[in-house]
Amino acid sequence: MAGIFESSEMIGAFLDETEEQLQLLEQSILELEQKGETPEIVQKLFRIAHTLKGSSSAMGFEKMKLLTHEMENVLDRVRNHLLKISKPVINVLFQCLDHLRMLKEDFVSDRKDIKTDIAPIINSLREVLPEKYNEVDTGKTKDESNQFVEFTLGSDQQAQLEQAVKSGLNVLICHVKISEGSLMKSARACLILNYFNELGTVIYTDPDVLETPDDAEIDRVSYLVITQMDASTFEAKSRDELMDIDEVKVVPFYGETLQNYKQPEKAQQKETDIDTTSKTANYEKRVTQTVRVDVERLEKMMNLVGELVIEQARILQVGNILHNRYSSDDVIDDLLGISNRVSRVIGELQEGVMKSRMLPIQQLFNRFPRMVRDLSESLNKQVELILEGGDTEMDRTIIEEITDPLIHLIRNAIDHGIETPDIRKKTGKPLKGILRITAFHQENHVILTIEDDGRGIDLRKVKQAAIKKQIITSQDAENLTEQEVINLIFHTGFSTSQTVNDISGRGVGMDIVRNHVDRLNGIIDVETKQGEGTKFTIKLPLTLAILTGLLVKINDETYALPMSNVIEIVRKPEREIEFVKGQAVSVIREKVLPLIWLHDYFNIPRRKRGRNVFIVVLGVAEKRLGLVVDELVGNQEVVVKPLGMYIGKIEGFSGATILGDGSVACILDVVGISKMVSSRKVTAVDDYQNCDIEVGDR
Amino acid sequence: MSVLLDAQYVEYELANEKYALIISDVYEIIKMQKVTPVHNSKPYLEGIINLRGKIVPVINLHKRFGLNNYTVTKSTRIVVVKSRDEMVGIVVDRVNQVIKFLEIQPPPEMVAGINGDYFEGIGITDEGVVSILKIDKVLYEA
Repeated sequence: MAGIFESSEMIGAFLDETEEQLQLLEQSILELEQKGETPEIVQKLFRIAHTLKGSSSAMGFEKMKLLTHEMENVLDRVRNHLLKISKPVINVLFQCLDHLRMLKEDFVSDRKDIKTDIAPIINSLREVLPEKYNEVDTGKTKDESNQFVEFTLGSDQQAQLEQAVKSGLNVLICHVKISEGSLMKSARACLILNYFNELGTVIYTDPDVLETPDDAEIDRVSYLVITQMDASTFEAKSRDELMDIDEVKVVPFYGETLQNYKQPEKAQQKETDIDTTSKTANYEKRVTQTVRVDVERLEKMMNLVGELVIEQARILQVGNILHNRYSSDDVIDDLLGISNRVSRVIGELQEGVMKSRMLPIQQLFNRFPRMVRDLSESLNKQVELILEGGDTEMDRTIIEEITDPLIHLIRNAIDHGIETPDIRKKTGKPLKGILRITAFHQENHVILTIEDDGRGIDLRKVKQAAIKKQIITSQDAENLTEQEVINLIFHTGFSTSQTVNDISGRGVGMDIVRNHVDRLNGIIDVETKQGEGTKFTIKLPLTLAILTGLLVKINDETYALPMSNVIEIVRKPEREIEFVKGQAVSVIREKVLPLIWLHDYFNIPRRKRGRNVFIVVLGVAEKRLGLVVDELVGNQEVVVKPLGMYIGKIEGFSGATILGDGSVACILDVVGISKMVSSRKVTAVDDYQNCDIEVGDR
Repeated sequence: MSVLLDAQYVEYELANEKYALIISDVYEIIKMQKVTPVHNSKPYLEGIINLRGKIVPVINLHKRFGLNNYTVTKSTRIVVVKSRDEMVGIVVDRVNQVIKFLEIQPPPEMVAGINGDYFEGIGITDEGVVSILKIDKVLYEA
């Protein structure tokens, strides 16, 4: 009996939602740990557990349902102030998160066979409860806490509520218990009403204090207040300033309490519910407004837009030719006008499609706080993680590819960079190390930086390790510049770690990072100061499907170079080209760059040179080289097209593109070129050792 | 052989010899155009062209079969074939006609100085013999 929940769409939707909720859960637990307990966070956690319980039970996923149910119990106690948030509780919550992740993984691999054992975690959850787990008891607490929350709102008040929520105000319920001994309790209730009106706007009271006779014996009154303050400040303030009261309890107006809130329309309830939290969790709100699209469809759209871009360039070119040929013809002016407008629309379309593939890097950032917490805990270090630019958008394929390198760099920073508190104390640094990760856009690129204030890279040790691992000879080591020594860390199999622990030093190192950055046509730079810290800067293209290419000519063949690899273009008099052991080099900005004539590798004659040569300074990952070209054509958007299976992968080329005149140009792959250059000069390899950049080559 | 006999063939010329391809393999025939070289690739790969927005590799059969150097003339054509779900262009000196064969004989060991394995067989017509190429083998096997 294959029900609707067996369908792949449903399963996909369930998994997507679960992933989202799990990320949110992680974020919230971390927030709880850092900022302490607030009703908002607890409510958020409760809601996540509740959502997960609902969806997993709909999917018939028993184990997840049971676990989330137990979580709900614990969180419910917290919410009702029957349980304090403490370290053990937070740890249990983290364990729950881990178990939920494992359950989800199990579900992905085989739904019929969920291996993860949830019994221990359920026990731990029950252990943190103040009293023995008791179903009846839970029911009772619920009743007690909510017993006087019964609002019957009119349409006016609902409109007010909506308005408030939309403008980002908080809606709070204030339960007040007026002291037994207070005379004229209803007058006291009115005074409280007045006081609350100073802090915000009271839109409803229960019972209605304005209607009750003066001598009525009311001791519990609930006020519904719209205010800018959050629940805890509001509560503290009223507790301090109100007279003749026994108890004030302020809770945000949403979640479970809504069940008692009699509202005519159900749909509206949901809206209020979501909007109320929108201030704290914008994320959730956005999710409800998006549409999930298959990546393949986006991919196809991207391809079609690519075709349009090419055809548009051709139309423009043909139009220009016609214009020159029949300059007096108005129709051709029309054609050019249309062509311009179409080109603008295509431009916007392209941007739109590209944006639809973009995701904020926040998604990735969300994974870091937990990781940093666990790592620093296990290494007994204190680390403050600062994440900046989470809203920076990147192509999702790039985000996927860059995840591993970033995680690696973070581990590295905590493991090797940031010192233990006692060492930091000795060196006069604050005990807490700072790890700052930023993302931002710069022109057509995304820049990611990972910076720590740790001990920095010990260049001497790097040199020694490199000599020991026979990456360089001790003679070479003498001649290396500082930057060259730093770049040695990217060498395959290189690691300065003395001790192997389970975090890093498993034989993998910065070369993995370099390879990933390579693959994305990115550039990586390292700055380090001993005793002060290390900073990695990664520059990545925005997308891989369309790139800004620099068109150059090598003899009379046109080639496109990814702009993301182009560092600068310089024109040098030929006589300034020098030779180091047969390798042509040029000094550009005080750096010695090896010069490459692709002509030699492609067996095409070098053009008779003028007095100057154009050198395109290329960078890939940590390497730099100068490519000598005959002509610079300009830069333009190029659509990357694969060379196809028949041709296969050719070193030095990443694909081809179609130019405005319909001709084809190959796109040069800078990684491939640098490989090609180093592999073909096998006999001259010794020369390379001394020359810039090529040191630490694979 | 009867299937081969019923089929139609595209007859073309290469260094004054007649060759044929089964028509179902032929995607289209276009005039010779500017071919962008792809260096460091297969030695007989002439380069790549733009076929209505698609990048299509073009091979040179002269080079493939070690025939004498060819020159591009007015009649030079690129026969685009579909092989293994991919389009590949083949440079030929001229495309003559679409024909059917009266008889097809198995290929001898050598055909016009080329290894016989590259051929499906030899087609017989009123005007003489035509060598039928096994396109997959020509494209993919060394």
